[in-house]
Amino acid sequence: MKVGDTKSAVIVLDGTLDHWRHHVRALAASGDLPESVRWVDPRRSPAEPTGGLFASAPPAAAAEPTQAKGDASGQALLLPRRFVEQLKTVSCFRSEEMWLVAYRLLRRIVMGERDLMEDPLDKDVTAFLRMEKAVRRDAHKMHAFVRFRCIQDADARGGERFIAWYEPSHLIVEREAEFFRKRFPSMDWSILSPDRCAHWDGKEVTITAGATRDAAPTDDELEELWCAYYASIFNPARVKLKAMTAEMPRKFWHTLPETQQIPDLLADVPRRLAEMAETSRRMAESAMPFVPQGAPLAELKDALPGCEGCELFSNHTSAVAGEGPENASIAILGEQPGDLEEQAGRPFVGPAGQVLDELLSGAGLPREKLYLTNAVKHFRHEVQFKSGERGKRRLHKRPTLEHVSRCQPWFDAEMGRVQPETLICLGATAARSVFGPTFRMPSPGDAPIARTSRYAKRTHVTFHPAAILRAPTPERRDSLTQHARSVFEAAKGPTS
Amino acid sequence: MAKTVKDKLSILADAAKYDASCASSGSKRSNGGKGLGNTTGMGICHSYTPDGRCISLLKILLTNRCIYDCRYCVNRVSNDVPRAGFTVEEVVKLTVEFYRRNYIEGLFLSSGVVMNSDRTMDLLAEVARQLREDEGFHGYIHLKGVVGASNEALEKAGRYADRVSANVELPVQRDLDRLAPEKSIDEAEGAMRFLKSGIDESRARGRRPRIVSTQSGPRQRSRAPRRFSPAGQSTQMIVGATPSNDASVLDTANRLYQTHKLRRVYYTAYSPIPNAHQDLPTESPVLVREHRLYQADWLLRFYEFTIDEVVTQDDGNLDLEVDPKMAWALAHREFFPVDVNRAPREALLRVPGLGTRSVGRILKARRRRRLRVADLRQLRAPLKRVMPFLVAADGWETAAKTLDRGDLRKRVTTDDRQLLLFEAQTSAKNGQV
Repeated sequence: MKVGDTKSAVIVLDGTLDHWRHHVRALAASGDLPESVRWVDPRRSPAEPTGGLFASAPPAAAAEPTQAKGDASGQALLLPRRFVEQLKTVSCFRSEEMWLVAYRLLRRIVMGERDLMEDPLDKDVTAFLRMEKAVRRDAHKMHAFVRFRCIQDADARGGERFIAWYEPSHLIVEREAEFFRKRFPSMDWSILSPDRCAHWDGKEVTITAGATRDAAPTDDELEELWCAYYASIFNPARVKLKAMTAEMPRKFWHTLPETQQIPDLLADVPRRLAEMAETSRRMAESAMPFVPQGAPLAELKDALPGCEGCELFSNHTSAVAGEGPENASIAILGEQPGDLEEQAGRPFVGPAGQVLDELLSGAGLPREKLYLTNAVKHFRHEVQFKSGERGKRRLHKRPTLEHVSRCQPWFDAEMGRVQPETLICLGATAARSVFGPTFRMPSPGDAPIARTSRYAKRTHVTFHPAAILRAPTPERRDSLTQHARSVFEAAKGPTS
Repeated sequence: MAKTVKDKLSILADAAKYDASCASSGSKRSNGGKGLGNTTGMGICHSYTPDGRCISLLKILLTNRCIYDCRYCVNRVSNDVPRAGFTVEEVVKLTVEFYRRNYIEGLFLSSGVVMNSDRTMDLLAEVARQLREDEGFHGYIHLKGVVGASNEALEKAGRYADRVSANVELPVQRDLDRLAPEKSIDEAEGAMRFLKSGIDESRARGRRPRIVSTQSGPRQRSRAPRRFSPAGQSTQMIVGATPSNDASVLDTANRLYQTHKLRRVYYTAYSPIPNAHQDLPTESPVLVREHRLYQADWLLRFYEFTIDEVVTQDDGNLDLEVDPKMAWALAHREFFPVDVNRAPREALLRVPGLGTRSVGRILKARRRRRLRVADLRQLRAPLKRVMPFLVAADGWETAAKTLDRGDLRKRVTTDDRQLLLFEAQTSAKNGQV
């Protein structure tokens, strides 16, 4: 080893702050601190070819400095308390350079620059603070990125031992063992790393020599759940890889199980975005642009034939508008017009309409005072040719959630004008267009209950007259009718 | 068909991801050498997803079933999404097992409203109670205050959680009427008021001396302070779902900060959700708007700016091209240049590109020497950004040449675009979304 400056001493360290401090005190005791000292630290530069020379360097950290305290050379150096605290942190920095900077600063402080650390522009101070920051950041990352894996171990408390493999950038395992001891007092754990390993058994923290990765377990059953969580919490609509890697640099990834799926997650982003765009595009294409907002009912009716909010406009039928006075206090919502309604251009005039009329007159509700409309304004149907019969038949086909949702702006606009006190939904389609697709129809035996919806303070749900018509058994028909009757009766109640 | 815990986790984490908060800081909870976990007051981000956001807490819903139909919400009753619900025990177990493997700092639990608000709030609080009392868990717990929950139900939540937050959701009542007719700002503020009184009371008790001497001689220990939401409360506002402008958003935020002493107001850009209601925009508002709101929020709270100062546009919105401080500086060039060697702290804080920390460093450094441009560089001040507004011992030319130029705005705009990425990183680091 060649040292340019002949005055400079060469001191071999064991890598600990105590050992370095011992030597600094010894230097101070022997007179002035020399301007430059070459600090050699095999623990920090193991790759250095001269490393072999220091095989005899003191391996045990503790012995020497404790003696030093008593001996004359160990005279205390008066240093600002904060600097001493910072030294403890900086001494974890993984580079031999660190001792050099620390020594230069210490010497300058001892020589009289007492408030040197207060100068944010001094080169030594900047270098020192940068190292301090690096160690702190590394410690913070260790707190965050250690991942324990649980193994069964009869000797451990609770029969479980938690083991992590972690590779910090700096020599911080000993320093940070305290953090994990405080955090996981009730667990037996070990943190294995190439430099040092730390272990906790509920009584004390033990530090052992470095280990290799194969000493740590390779799996943990919880990782599947953790990875599922990670994948679900990721929002593909806002990919910011730089922000991620700035905080979770790739060098840490190999011990973080959740990062294994990042390539797959990213590969899936275009598909998920396209899917989201498609859904919102489909949903955006609704009747909205065709609905004159805030217009009176007559105007709405005039605008309805021009609606192209869903594909039903092209099925050779004409849309059927709602019917009734704008000041109606009760509104009735059905599913969609049927064959006869479509031909007549009026809601509820077919066979189901007759059932409704009977129900209304039974309850003493005059039809002309009510507002009647459908959730879907076009007639969705299938054309059926039947052999032996003349012509073709248009068979009712239930509208989908998408039809309902696209047609909703019409109903919204109608209700915006009518603002009924009471709304009666006939059948599941109508009820779901008001209360959402998860709404469950009541049982025929249930008492009529009024809910609040965004359309009316009191909103009832009962069965569609068509369901009554097509009831498989007379008993079923009676119970459905009974429910409908009770609902109409209840609806009439307070408003009449 | 019964759903597995993994299925539920996927559904209920996915449903929770629209809540912005992930902070786990501001609360200290020590375990006294027993049990599991401690909360040190410093948040820790345990992982980062490719969207650049950190994972600090297990952020899930207890259930995404909901009786409400708020149109901006993915979990509204009228939306056709897969539904699931955890049991209290499942959430407790997941939290403990995740925590023991050091995946998380704790739990952020919210929920759709099932049955009624109190019942739902009580279930959330019960999760927290079991974690604290049965599992000896001292990690961080953030519970969402369920809308419409009574004070009694909130009380139990505050007793076991580190933070309870009630969302105002939208900046003004008019917006709520349109999109969430069942909700009201008054109701949210009622919850905030109650939480604030609980927080204040427990802080006041905490400050009182623990050892008191009594007349009868021996000194007695006073009752330990009742813990109540020690990390304070926060709220969330959705931005861009309604036409309300930034001035009204900031105005509401400001009022909430002042009246209820909130720790944070989270702004979350409305993110188009699958099967959105037609009343909502299909395009997401530019994410940069959310970012600008956070910047403005910061200026209001820590830099003594006023809303009138940060909102420079006639339509009451923030300037999206440049950050609010730069926008103010561009509109108030008469205030500049500021002399880096003489100006008081408040004036330096008005310089775009100088934050509280760099100003602190400048103040320290200038005690020893007159600062030159090279010194500023060493102090890590972004020179391209700050020099048009500063005079240093050897650098007045930049300011003299550029301050009154018409294209100054254009110049700083290009810089600003590059800066955005960088800022997103810092904000990810300190948990400010």
